[in-house]
Amino acid sequence: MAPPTQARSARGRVSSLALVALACLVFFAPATAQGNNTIKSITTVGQTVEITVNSTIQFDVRDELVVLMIGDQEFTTSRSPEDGNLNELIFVLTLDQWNQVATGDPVSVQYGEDDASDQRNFGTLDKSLLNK
Amino acid sequence: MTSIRRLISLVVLLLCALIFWTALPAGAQGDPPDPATPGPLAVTRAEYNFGDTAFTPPGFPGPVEVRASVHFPTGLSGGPFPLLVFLHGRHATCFVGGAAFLQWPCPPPRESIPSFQGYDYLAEILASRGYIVLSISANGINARDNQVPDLGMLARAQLIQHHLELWKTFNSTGGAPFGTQFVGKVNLNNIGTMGHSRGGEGVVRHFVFNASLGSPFGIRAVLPLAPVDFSRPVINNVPLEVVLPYCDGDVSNLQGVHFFDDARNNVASDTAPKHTILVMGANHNFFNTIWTPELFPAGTADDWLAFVTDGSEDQQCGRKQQSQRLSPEEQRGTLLAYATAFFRNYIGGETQFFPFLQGDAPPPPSAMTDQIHVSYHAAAAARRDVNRLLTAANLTTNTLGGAAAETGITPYDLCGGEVPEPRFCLIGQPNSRQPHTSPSARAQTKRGLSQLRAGWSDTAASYHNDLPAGQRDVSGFTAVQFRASVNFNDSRNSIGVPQNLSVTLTDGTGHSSTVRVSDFSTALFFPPGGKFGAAVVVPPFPVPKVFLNTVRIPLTAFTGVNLTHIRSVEFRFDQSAPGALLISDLAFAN
Repeated sequence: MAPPTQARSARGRVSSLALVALACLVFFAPATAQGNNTIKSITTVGQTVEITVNSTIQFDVRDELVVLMIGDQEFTTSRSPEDGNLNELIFVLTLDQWNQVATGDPVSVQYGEDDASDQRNFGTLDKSLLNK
Repeated sequence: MTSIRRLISLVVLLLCALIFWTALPAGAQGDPPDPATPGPLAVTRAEYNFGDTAFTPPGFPGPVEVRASVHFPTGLSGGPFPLLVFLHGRHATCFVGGAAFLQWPCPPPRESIPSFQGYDYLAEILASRGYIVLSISANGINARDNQVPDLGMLARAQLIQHHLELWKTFNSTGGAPFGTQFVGKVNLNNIGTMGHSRGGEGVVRHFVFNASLGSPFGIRAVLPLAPVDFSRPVINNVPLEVVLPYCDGDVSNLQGVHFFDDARNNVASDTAPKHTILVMGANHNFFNTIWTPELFPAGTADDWLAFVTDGSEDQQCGRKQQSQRLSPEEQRGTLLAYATAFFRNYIGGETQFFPFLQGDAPPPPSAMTDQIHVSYHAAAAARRDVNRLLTAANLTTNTLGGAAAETGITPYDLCGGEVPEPRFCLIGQPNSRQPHTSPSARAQTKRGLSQLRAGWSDTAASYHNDLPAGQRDVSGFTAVQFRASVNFNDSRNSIGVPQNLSVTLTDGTGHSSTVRVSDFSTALFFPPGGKFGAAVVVPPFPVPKVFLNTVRIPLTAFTGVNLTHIRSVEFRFDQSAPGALLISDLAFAN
């Protein structure tokens, strides 16, 4: 009977350690709202390109400006989808603006232009996804 | 004998009264009454709603609602009554259960979030004092304002104007839903406006818009509350009060201070005073009950905790036991106090409340906190600027043409203003910690407040301004004043310790009188904020912030000098060394 008990104890210690480690990770991780972030679509609409981003954490409706960063460029024309879903934002770029960004540029969304808060990363831009 | 007894009784009575008087708290010895005390009039609340798509602001990409609440004196006897117009800020527009959405109009079963009802607590008090208070719904603008370059500010102005046109009809011929109830009851030449957040820039933009139409409505006071200032519109010749919450987690750079800073010297003969009210411990949302957790089912947030990374850890704004955050009720109290003082003073003509707006009187009981700091810029005719500190020339020659000089001040330079000044005053600090120079999203190249960056290492240091001949009679003014902030980024200031200095006036005969700033002002507090246990200047928190508040010293405190012939004003840094301040706007004022 002892070995199983020891085994359970060992597993229990491992589980406890794992829980503690997880708790530490949760506690000490930056509280930035990252969630699961994806670029949902890139679509040409008339003379503009619309980039729809999706996050599992809602984009708060704030008075500060919401900004899409692609590389070192900022884009601030945006709207919510027609259904009002706060997990998505649609940024609108002119064709000139679209031509100034490149595949591989890092993509992020933040509030405010200089002292960004609630910055979320969306990986890198793949321009070949336009209209796909 | 009877006369002697009467005399003794009278003396005893007077002595008792004197003892009682001196035993009262300082604030009770002659401070103005509390402006937020409910008034004598019964109040009626009503709403009108012409539909969710009743108005499309020209050039705006969608229709908006024409809906508002109205608080007014029941019965409307007397009048016409002044009109106050409130405009809420950007927030989610629709909800169902606990879920919020941003769209317009709201498809059933979703309902509109009534952000416009969030200031009813203020409207009720003002209506009881004889105001008609209108609070406008602007969800249709919020749903689409990020699609237009000015972020919806012109649309907000147009929406306010549309409502005012409605009230012109209500006041003249009458109309649905009020019939003739308000005919002749509204003074459309005595209007005050208040806008929260994007609504704050909205009411400023509305003042400009109304003026561009020939001022069909008389806007007599403008109050931006925790406002954005994306495009840097500047308004003059209208009283301005900018209320700024120190723990704003949304508009965390307090960019709305630009409304005050930009307007100060914009018009030479500006007739209107300007004020900022810095509310320590206040966040962005709690001024609006609909945006406050537990007071509405969806879309609410404590913005500091929700938007600032690790915000709960901050020693001023967080949720630790030592933090100084105001409760929602306390925060609403601060707006009650300073909005009622502002509107009752400038719209109602009740000038007894002016000392609150100058910072001469401590916050009234309704504010529920004494952690409020005021900046005050007097109208041009009520002010003599000694040194505006606008250009490098002002380091040696002040605004009056007199000599300016320093002894033992390092650095002694200007920052934050026009080129060639450095754009920012605090090197290595984020913009949210230096609001006066924070760039604006739609006016990126516009500079901020020019400030004297001054530091000292020993108590012999001084800063001196001469008043030239012809400018030396200051007896017509009530105070000498300047704006200042402790520079938390300069290690010569001890963390958490307020600064202090002396101000000396010297007259033509060489007589001097010196007073200590700390005897009259708390403006030289060390800006609070930072993580417990961490160095206070370490990011990422938006606090501490440098924020220049007014130090105002009554001239009656300077005894033994001839106020009709003051030759110089001197700052002596003899109270605390070393130290460092940011300074602007040295003036005599009423």
